[in-house]
Amino acid sequence: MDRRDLITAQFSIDSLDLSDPVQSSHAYAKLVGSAGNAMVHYSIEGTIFALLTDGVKPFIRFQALLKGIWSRKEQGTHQYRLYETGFFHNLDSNEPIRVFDNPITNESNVLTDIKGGPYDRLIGPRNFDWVISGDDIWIQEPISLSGYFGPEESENQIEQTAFSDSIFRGKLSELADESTMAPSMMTYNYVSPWYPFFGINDDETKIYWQAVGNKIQSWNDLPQSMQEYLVSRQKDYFSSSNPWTKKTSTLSHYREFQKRNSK
Amino acid sequence: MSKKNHMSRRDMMAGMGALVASPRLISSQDITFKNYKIDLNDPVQNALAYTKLIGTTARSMVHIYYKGTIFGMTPEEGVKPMIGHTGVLKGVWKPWVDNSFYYTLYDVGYFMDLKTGLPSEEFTNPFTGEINRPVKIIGGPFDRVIKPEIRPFKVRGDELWLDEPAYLNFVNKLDPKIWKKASTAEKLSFLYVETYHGKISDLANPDLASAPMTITSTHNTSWYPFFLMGKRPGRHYWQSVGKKIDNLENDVPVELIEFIEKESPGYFESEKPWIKRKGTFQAYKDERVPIED
Repeated sequence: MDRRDLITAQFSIDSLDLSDPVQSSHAYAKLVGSAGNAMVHYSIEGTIFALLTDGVKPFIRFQALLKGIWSRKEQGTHQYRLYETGFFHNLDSNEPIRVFDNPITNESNVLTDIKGGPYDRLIGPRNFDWVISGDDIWIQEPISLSGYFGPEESENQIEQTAFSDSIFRGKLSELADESTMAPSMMTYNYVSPWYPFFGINDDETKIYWQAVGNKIQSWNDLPQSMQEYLVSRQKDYFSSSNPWTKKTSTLSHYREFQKRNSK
Repeated sequence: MSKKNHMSRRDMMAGMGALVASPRLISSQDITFKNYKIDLNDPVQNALAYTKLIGTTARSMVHIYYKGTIFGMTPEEGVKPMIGHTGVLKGVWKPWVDNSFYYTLYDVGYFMDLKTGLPSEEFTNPFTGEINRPVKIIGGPFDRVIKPEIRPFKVRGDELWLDEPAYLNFVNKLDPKIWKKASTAEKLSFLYVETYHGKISDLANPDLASAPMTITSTHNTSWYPFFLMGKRPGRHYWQSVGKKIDNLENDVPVELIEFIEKESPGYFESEKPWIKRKGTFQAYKDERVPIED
């Protein structure tokens, strides 16, 4: 494939060469987000499992709406800015909850919303570790993380490790057509220490967040519960390309929430 | 040549062979979807949809290809990729009584060098720095009955998926007092989450006994024995992706096909590749001897 064709997004499956770093990053952008300039949403829903010393328990569920603002740069480079918003809910209901009856401690926890971003990322030409089987294609993104997961910043912070692994699946034929965006299904996996709002201070055990969703086309593709949540709590989030400016995370958001409430 | 012998390897892979081999077994249950409609709130239709997605409603075989990575996580050293894993699951399916389906599952594959994708005879454990020698991946037969019940499928447009978590707590076949480096504890705790994905139009298509399906699989487990992690704090995170095989040669890397045909001749063709139950922990116990610290 001529790189000029790539710039104009004119190529076919016969000519897509994923061993070429420029084409590989183009395919990555197209699968995960957009190879053009576009806003891309993933609606995901899943479960947090408690990985306890005496076994595993499903703990709480969550829904999130991820927003990526994608833009194509020069030299086969793509850039995106990521945001996330969402809520926790009980195992047997899709209603957002603020107070959670913790089945492990038998105490009530006051939760926060899920909120993160803006996170910026630049994707330059490189060889991605694709898995291909027939017309199905996957990319997996394991990321090792470390940080402090306690309720507030302090001088005696002990660093803890976490691990996220996002998996995107699509069709090879759809990555090779002339459009700049391809359908994609996402599996989100995250093993972390206990978040402070669950009130369990135990380094020996972890939680595992597992969620599945897809790249959505419109507001109507959102689950009813997420639509209702956005209308009541994040009215402009879906349409905005800049829903907030100050960088945050669910952990930071909780700490700020705690700080405000303690004043 | 009989009609049955016309079944190609491709047909056999996707579980389509039974359409010619035993059509009466399908119609006798009379639970195919009518008029391309599907009601997942009906336990019988739900079980039929589940069976079409992960296997086949016909008396037939379905093979699922998978490939992934095993990571280790320790409090001191964080997360590191340890080794790859790849294989082919075989499900031998048949319609069962009371609108149920019955299948027997087998698994053959290998632990994989992350760079070459080839079988790994030995590798350097990134946590201990020691040389580890993996066993081969082998499992089954495991039997399961799919009964009419409501499974929580998620539907968005024509897309459909199902998360299926399984929690396993069991006694370790390797006594930690004897297998000091291979056994992490007397009891083991595993969480498997399989996510099956397909199209609702395929599940509602009465002409299909087996629908195309892709799978994402994650396992949070205790240390596996051949990593020789002893009682070191931490655990594994396994992830893999895969799909129901439609065409063996197109969907599965040739090195994996050759490995399976060498290790388990007739695996793809046989409805009963072996009889006695096998598993990775048992294989380790059978093949290896305890190592002292």
